[in-house]
Amino acid sequence: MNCDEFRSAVLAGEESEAIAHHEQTCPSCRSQAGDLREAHQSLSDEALWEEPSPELAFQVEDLIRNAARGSRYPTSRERSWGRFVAAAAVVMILAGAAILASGRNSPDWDVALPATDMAPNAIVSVRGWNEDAGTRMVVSIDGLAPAPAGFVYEFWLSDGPVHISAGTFRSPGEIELWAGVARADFPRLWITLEPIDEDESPSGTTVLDTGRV
Amino acid sequence: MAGLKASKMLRRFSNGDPDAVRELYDRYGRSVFTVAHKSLGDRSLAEEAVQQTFLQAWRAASRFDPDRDPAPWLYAIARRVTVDLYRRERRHQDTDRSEAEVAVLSPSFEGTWEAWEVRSALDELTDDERAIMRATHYLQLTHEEAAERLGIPVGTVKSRSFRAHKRMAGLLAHLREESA
Repeated sequence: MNCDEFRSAVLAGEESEAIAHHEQTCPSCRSQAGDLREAHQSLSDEALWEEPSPELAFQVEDLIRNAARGSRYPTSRERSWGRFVAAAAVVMILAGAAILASGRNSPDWDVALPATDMAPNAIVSVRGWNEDAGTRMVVSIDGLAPAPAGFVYEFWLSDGPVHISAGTFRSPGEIELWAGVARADFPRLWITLEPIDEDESPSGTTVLDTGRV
Repeated sequence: MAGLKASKMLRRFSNGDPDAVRELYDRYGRSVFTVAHKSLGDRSLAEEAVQQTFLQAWRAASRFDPDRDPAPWLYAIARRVTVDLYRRERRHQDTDRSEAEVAVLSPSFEGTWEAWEVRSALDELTDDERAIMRATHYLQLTHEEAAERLGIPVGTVKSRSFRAHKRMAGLLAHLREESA
């Protein structure tokens, strides 16, 4: 019995005197025998023979094509929010400098956003600073799945039917947002999942919400 | 899969080239599916895991060294995705458990890397060779029964079986060298 015959036989689950003899006398085959016997056991596992549906390949392709399109060619909505975020960043830098100068690092308020059934694992807390120019918020997001391709999460402050967006994000982490209104006037804080399109009103897909207060 | 061809493919993959995505999926998609299905025990969840795995891999591709074997990297992503899906499903199914309890539960990954390697090796075989392996290992047929089922002579079953096992043993050794 040569090495090829030994390995084939062990993978096939065979046992014989010839196999035992080869294993004793060939260190290379002896070192592989354990892995081959484990592989033999695996070959009868049903999960190994299950095939994904043929459509899955196209679904994966579409998912990544859409994600690539979304990351490279922002829509007018993303571009407008890009400008908003850039402007907000300048304001935040100034506000941050003012906060540091005044030594006021502790937030004026701290709120945990309850998750809806859309994101049961999400844990989101918001620390807020009431400024003359509006509301500065640091949002800590954990357990929220990244937004699917073609979607973003959007953070809102609302007073009844009046909704003010504080910005959008895609993935969990810690982000800083700014709204040009006072939290006292817009007490409801909530996050929606928004399709990237021209519509700037909140969608019906709410993932976290303090509720209508 | 290691080497210049894989390196070029991974670079194209990180640029969002759909052909490279398809190439990576064709090579590893079934292995990802096997790991997810073995851990989650559910086809539709396993398919969701495959989609999320490739999406996360694509998003992280720029941080991956394209000169390295992508299999352990993809496997690690698949495991993380599978844990997330498992916890999500457990939370839905078992509302009595506290969030902290659910957060520490994880599916079993025992034997999943081995299943990944065996599946990868199976996918390298020809259709004829894979049919023989399926008949003799999964369906537990004798050579005679396999010959009847596949409509080929017993001698052909035996010769294909030897060839398939020989190739697969070689592929498994190669895969383990690559990932070592």
